[in-house]
Amino acid sequence: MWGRMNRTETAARLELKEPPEQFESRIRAAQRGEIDSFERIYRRFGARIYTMALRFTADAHRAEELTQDVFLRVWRKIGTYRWESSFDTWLHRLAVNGILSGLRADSRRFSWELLGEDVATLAGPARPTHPGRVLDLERAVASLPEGARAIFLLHDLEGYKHREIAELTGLAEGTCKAQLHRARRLLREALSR
Amino acid sequence: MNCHDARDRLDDYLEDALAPGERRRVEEHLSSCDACRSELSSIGALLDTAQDLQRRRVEPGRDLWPELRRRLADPRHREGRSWRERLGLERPRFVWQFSAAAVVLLVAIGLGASYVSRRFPLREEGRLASVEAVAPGDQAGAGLADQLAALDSEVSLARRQISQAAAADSTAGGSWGTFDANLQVLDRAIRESRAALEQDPENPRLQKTILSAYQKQLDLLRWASRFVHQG
Repeated sequence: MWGRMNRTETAARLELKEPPEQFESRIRAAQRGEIDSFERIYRRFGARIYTMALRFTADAHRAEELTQDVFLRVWRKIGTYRWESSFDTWLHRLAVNGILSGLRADSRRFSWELLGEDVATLAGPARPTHPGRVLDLERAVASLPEGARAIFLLHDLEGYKHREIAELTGLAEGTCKAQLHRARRLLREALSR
Repeated sequence: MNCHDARDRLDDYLEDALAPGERRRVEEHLSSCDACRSELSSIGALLDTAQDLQRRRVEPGRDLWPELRRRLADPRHREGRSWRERLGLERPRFVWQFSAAAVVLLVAIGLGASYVSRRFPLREEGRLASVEAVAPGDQAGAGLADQLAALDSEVSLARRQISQAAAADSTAGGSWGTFDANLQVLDRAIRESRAALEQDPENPRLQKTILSAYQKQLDLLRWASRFVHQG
């Protein structure tokens, strides 16, 4: 998975910025069905959505598919955007729902089950090839079991509260907390090796 | 509080999700336990790194847009969009056609108002000359009845002309409906005044009320006519 990635570390360069009023016009044009304007929206948010999909799936090919699915969903629903929240927030919500739906629909078994007691299920890098702590964490997250990985990403990266995660996943709030607790413990152990 | 209980609560402690009493007990334990303080620091470091990770972006190995664009153009992916969105119309058709329909309607109103004003010449202030000619106690009752009948006929003719013009343009139906609804309000006022006048034909106030109602109808037509000329 990691070998296929082209890394670009600077978010500001990827998320092409334009003046708010210009971006607002672009959204309205996309709502009218102008694909060229929608392309600008994709260019602005595409890397972010792909990155999120990649972290959830730990599979670059699947992440590409889910990224396209998310933007197809955005295209279909952009007419319902009512400017009640920021477009960023609105799109992010669609993306999370789209990615989680994709995970559940996967042919591979996707489980929200609690981590087993066996810490060895977290493969992790035996010896990090890159000294950067952020990249170490990226690799360690990819090694988490799917369900725990998703809850860690939703809570600690995407900022969702336990109540919201429970609604998204269908799990009890207490279960979400327990999974997060164990995911953090496994990650800290992997990073300390 | 022992270490096991304290470590079970460290996640909630960091999120400020503990009740005040429980938070106090955790802090008391941390103040005397190096191992749990180290555990807390380790969790904090993980969350700091997670924040850095959240800002990191990864590009796909290839440009996804060409394929995405092809899928967007697929009619199956346009199903969720309304017919207006698919046609590139963000508003109902009658809104952007309204300006054309409004011009047709207002020209028709102007023609109708012009016809009425030629039939009943107005003073500069727009007041019906016949209002001042009516005096209680004289032959005004009979004269007023004839004038009212004639006014009825002329207003009906003008409204028929406008209605026919609106009917000729199917998209102007909504606009004519609104305009006609306003005229109907005045019709009701006129009917009620005429019914009262029948009971008290010499009443000058009722006479002026009826003529005022007709004046308002004419003013409405005149206003529409002026709007067209100003446009």
